[in-house]
Amino acid sequence: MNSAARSISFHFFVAVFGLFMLYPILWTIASSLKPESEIFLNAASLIPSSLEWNNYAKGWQGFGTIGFNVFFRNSAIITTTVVVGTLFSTSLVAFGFARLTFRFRSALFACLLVTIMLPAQVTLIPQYILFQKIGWVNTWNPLTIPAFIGGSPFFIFLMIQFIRGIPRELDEAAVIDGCSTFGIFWRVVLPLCTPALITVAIFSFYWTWDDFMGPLIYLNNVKLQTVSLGLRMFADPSSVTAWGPMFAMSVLSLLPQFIVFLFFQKYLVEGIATTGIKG
Amino acid sequence: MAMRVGKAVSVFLTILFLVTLSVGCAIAPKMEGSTDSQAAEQNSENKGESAANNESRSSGENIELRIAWWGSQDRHDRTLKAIELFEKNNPNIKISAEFLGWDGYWQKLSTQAAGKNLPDIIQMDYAYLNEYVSRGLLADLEPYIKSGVLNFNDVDEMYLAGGRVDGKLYAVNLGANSPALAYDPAMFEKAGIPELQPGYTWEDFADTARKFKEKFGKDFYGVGRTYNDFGIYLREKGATFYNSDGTGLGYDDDRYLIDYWTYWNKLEKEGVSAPFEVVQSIKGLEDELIVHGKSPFLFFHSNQIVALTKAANRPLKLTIFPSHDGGDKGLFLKPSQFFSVTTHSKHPDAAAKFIDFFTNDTEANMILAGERGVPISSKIREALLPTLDEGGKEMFKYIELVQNYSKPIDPPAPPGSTEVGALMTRLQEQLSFGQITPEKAAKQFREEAEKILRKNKK
Amino acid sequence: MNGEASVIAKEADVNRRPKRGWQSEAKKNLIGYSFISPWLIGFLAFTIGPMIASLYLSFTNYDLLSPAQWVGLENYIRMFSDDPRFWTALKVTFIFVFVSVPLKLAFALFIAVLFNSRHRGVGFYRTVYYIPSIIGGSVAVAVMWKQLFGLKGAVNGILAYFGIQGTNWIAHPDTALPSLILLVVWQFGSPMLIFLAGLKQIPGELYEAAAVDGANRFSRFVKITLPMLTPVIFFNLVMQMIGGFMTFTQSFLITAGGPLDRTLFYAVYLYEKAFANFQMGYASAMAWILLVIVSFFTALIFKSSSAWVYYESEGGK
Repeated sequence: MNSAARSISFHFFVAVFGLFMLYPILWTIASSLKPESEIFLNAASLIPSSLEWNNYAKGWQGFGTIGFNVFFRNSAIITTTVVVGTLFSTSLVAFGFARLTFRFRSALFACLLVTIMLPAQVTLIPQYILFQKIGWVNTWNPLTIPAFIGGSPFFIFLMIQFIRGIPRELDEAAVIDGCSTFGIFWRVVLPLCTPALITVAIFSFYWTWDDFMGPLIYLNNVKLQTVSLGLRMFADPSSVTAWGPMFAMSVLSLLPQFIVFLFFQKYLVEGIATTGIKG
Repeated sequence: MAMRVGKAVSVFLTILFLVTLSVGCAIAPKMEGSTDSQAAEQNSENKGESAANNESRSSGENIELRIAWWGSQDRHDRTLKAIELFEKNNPNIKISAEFLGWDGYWQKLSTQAAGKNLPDIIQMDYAYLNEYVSRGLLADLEPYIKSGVLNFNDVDEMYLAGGRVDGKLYAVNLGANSPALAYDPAMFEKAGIPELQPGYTWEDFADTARKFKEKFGKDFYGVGRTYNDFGIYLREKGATFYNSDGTGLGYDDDRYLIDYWTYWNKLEKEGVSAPFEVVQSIKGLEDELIVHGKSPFLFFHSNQIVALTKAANRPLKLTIFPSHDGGDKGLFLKPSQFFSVTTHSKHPDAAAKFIDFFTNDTEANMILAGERGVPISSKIREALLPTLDEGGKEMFKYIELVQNYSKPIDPPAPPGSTEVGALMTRLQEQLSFGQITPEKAAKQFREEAEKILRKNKK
Repeated sequence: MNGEASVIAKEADVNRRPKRGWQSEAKKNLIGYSFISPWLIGFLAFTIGPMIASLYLSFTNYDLLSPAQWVGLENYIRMFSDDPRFWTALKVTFIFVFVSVPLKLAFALFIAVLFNSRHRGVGFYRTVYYIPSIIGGSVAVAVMWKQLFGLKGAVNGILAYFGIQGTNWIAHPDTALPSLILLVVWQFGSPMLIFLAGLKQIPGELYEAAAVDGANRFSRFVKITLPMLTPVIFFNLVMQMIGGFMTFTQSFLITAGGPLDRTLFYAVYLYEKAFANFQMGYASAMAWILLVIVSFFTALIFKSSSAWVYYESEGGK
């Protein structure tokens, strides 16, 4: 197969399949633009009979005096803080586990893994009581500070695997050049981990942005609440649901994730030129 | 070597510094209203004080109340406006609204209950009332009625009854509601079938549904949802679902449940009622078959008629449930939801004052517009009626009508009722798929339900 | 957790280079603990306490609203001897994990390799393929999934082209679980992304050398890509398995465990017990049983890893 034919078959295959991937978002966008009565009467259709931009206006207004701008601002601040905190703590901790020797390392690593094997539903209430005792309920602290001290074991483990994939000769070369342990971490390992760091950033952004349980439990004041909570405020199956505004805001809430992914993934394209560094 | 140690220490210090810095940054967004935990702690000290004592204090000092409710956009907007009005009338009371969608509301409340940090006023549902009262989380409101803070002069006792547990009032009805049958009058006319008149029987209902199915054929169903409310069916037989102390089922003869399941199972097998996979395709109230013109009937609650009419974009009507020939009255007035004052509240008197305002203030109720159901005060009902849309008027009319076919509501369901309800749903699924006979299902239901309820024995 | 312990221990041996031999044990510990201190502080401050609390609660009768009462092993005994739905949930979850995880990983790897190329527009495609994974779990999303798999949904629309009369896939007892598995496999975005990052880390010179040797695409994939990717495959396998056992959202939102409990995932049943039935003690006991199960399988994977995972930093052991 020559390269032109290969390229065409690549694009054909990927585009056809891409339609399946796009369907959920297309459907959600279509529903967000349909007149409210049409969302279910004409649910299978991807084309609204008329464009109802009012859904967006009504949704953006939010509830009483609190508009969706408030929720978006809160989500943006919380999410950015968590991403920064996660990158900071994850890389340090992962380097420690992957490259350094210290007492109880294996035992502590086992502890790290075990913490994600317990369903969060059962630690929720003890954790709530703990945060309440230190006066953190109704603040962003329970959502942001844990990212700085430890973040998610998922990310730490991910980084560990990546760091273990980096040849150790590089560290040794750095040691000969007079680098401290922190220097090896900062100047050698971290730059080589860029793809992993990008991955961690994308995931922690998405997970924090989409998190419902944390904000639900810890934030009482509506002015402090997030988009994920705001979206649910449209829905009350026992009486009435504002479907149009809800779909409209659901679409908007996907936008930041979309942009973040599109922006960050290009660093995965370029990658880093590991060629030549080695040896 | 000394240099190495120095480096290690400096690394450590850098990290410590970074951690401190980051913690500091994250603490910064701490904003107003973070005093809940202190409030909860102080609350326990205040419990002993009498209502009257609290009241005298409330007139002077500044008070902050937390109110939680679930709902949708319309309810949030209206309630927030009503709260604004209340704050204007009572400058010393500031209200912090903690509203949510239905999703997560109860989980949040139970977490707060575990943390002894419930809001002062919470919107309550009949299904949860007993769970909360039996754990001492809701305040008895009788003292506030006596002291005049809560005024129910324009409220008929039957509207309040749903909020009583063992004779004490723990929850104030925010809107009367009742199980109802919605139907599409235009469809009756088109089919040439006479509308069902109150007093019609379950057999009449089945025959009418069959006629509709014959008339409109494929993709059309005589009734949208199956297995509707065994509790009412039982009440019409003069029995109750649970026994009086909630330690077991309230009916002795499995015949009732067998008949009820056979009735629906037959309609299902004949294709008259919508099959399981069609019912499961329904994505919400606004997506019901009656909205799509694919069924003339829907069993539901009367307050849902407003949303249903809006979604269908044509007039729909309400009538009562079918009855048994020579049977008992089965329907009841049910609070769509309540406001309750929690025992974690530091200012129960101010909270009661707010509930009184919600119940009796005309201006506030013009803003609220009966969105939570038919207001319980007769004065408010009169004022509100002329301002309502089609769906709202139908709801008001129905609440008047249903009173002739009602007897007092059963006591709130005992602990374990959600489990019993889920058990019933699972057995009905097995019936739908023909995996079990009504006889066997009824026997199994009794065995397992009794086992769940037995735990309530003291 | 002997599995990972031994892996780590092996690595520790490698780490003990003669060059650093003069460093005293204490200093090594100090540096090591400095680096992991962010996690250690968080673990001690916020994680271990609630975990111990939940273990304690698993021996109590706790209804959330009133204080817990000690009941000893009652919850565990009831779970194993008197709760058929517990066994149903276990069965459903095992089927789900052992079917969906391999499928999802294979799919994610395939797409990641495909998108590691330098075709035009590959960044756009990656984003498109990631979409199903970022769609989240709100009410709007639940409605969307129901629409997709429903009677008049897109899936049946496509099948109708091929003359197949579809059913309501999520409401039929035989197709509900396969539908959810399909849905989860479809959300392959996160392992795909991790594979992509892993592929980026493979030194290009390895491929250059192989090209000089005249290796074709396939043999380059088998001889270079796969072995170099094993740490990441290992990670994805462990995490997807753990995540699989914890799966909650899809079932909770779309099928609510039904029909006939055919999609009653363990986490869904646990949630039902904790927050719908007010049996937090029982739910905690369930959670700890799950922890035992999951850590057993994790240990198994870790044990096997020395046979197939290749770490560049450890000289290809």
